[in-house]
Amino acid sequence: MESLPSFAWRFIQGMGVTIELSLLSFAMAFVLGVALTVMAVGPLAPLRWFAATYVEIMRMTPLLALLLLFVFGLPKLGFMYSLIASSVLVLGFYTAAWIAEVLRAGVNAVPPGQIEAARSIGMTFTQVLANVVIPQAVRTVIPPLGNLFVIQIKASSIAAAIGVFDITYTAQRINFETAQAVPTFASAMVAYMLLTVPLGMFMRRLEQKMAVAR
Amino acid sequence: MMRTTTLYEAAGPRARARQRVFSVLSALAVVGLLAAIGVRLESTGQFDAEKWAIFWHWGTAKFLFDGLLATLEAAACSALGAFVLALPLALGRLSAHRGIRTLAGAYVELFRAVPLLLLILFMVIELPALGFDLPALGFLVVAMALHHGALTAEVVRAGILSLPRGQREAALALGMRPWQAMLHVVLPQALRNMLPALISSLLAIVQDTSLGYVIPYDELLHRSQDVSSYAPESLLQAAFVVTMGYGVVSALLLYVKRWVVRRQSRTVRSSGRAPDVHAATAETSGECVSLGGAPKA
Repeated sequence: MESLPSFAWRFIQGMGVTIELSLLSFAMAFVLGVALTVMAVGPLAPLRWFAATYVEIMRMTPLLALLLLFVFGLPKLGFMYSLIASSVLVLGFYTAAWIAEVLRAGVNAVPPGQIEAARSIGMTFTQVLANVVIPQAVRTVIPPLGNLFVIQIKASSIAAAIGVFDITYTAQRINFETAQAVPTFASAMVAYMLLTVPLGMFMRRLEQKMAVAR
Repeated sequence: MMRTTTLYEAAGPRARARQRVFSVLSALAVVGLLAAIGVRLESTGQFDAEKWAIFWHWGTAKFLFDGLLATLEAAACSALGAFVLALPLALGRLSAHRGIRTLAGAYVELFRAVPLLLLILFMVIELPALGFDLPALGFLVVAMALHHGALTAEVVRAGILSLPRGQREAALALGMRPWQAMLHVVLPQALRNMLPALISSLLAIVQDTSLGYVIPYDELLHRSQDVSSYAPESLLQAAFVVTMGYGVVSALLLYVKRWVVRRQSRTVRSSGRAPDVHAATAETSGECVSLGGAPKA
């Protein structure tokens, strides 16, 4: 029988893996999402089509199906990634679509009159983007992006389905060993809340700070 | 769907020519990417007829179709449970009694904080220990209903809050009791306004049934694994067929949702009501996401 501190230590390690999964995949999703947004609001039709199709496909596929396809399917094509890398890539590809939607909504939420005004005083496209659109778009997208990150932390639990030692899988293993389901899963829940609740509070503070009267 | 941006002005002849060049180049890039994937699939022989042959057998098709039916069954039961749970929770959060408010709020916050997968695993272990000997479907539905009930409650709450306050005040001024105002004035309008967001919740529920894979509940995703362990060479093909299964259902739901939105925006315009309510519910539906989720906006 292991001692209590050793279980606590395993949960802390699980939290580390969960943080790693969600941070890395969210960073990847953000970069991809920005690229998709640029394609979606840009003037080139083929890229617009590509971005729209990408978002649509991701919206129609369950995350777990995508993960299993990645883990079991790609080796058939000669690609092989570690379980953690696969989880990060799949979570990243998946969330990129949602980030793109959020960013696009943010860009479109800037009142057109402001852009017209900026253009009419002679700003170029990049100047408009840098001085008018992006500063305002950032304010509107911060809350939904924070929301997405909290969701990402919870979504990263599907990595447990392929045996990555995040919080969920740690709980599953400890339960196998001890058969103490209630305390084990309650600890896992607390572990998730330790990550999501402070983040939610921080996001609310940030939101208040960045709020602008329109 | 896309608003015409004013980010750049209507192109003149030279800019149009330039855009045409870049359009062709970017089209080539996209086609090139797809071709690279296609070549990779071809060179590993994924298009070979014998790898697809298994799906032409009546037995396989029926096996997978039954899996789809199991998925839909789980989704329907979970959605029913979630929606039944969501309404009292949402009303509870808006209740005048502090105790009820706190209780409903605690439930929603708790179940929103827990990943669905963790909840499912817990149910599988704990429900039999408590003497509930359910089939796999039961575990999945209980966990999904509890989880999505909390998420949908937030959608319902946002829908109620997004209704102009004057509606309720007018009802109260006419002498209705608060519950009458809620039942006859607020809810009918709020439910109508949040219909698109509720369809999004339904979509999230359908996709989340794939987590039944871990129980294991014998649904579509699990059956694709069965097929690919029976015929390992057809693994990618099985995954493709199953993804199409989810895709068709999701596409149908998205189509219905867009149809509802279009219809509603038409009636809203003609009756001159504030169109803002859609935006409000659509935005909050961001909360209502699958575990894999993200806003199905």
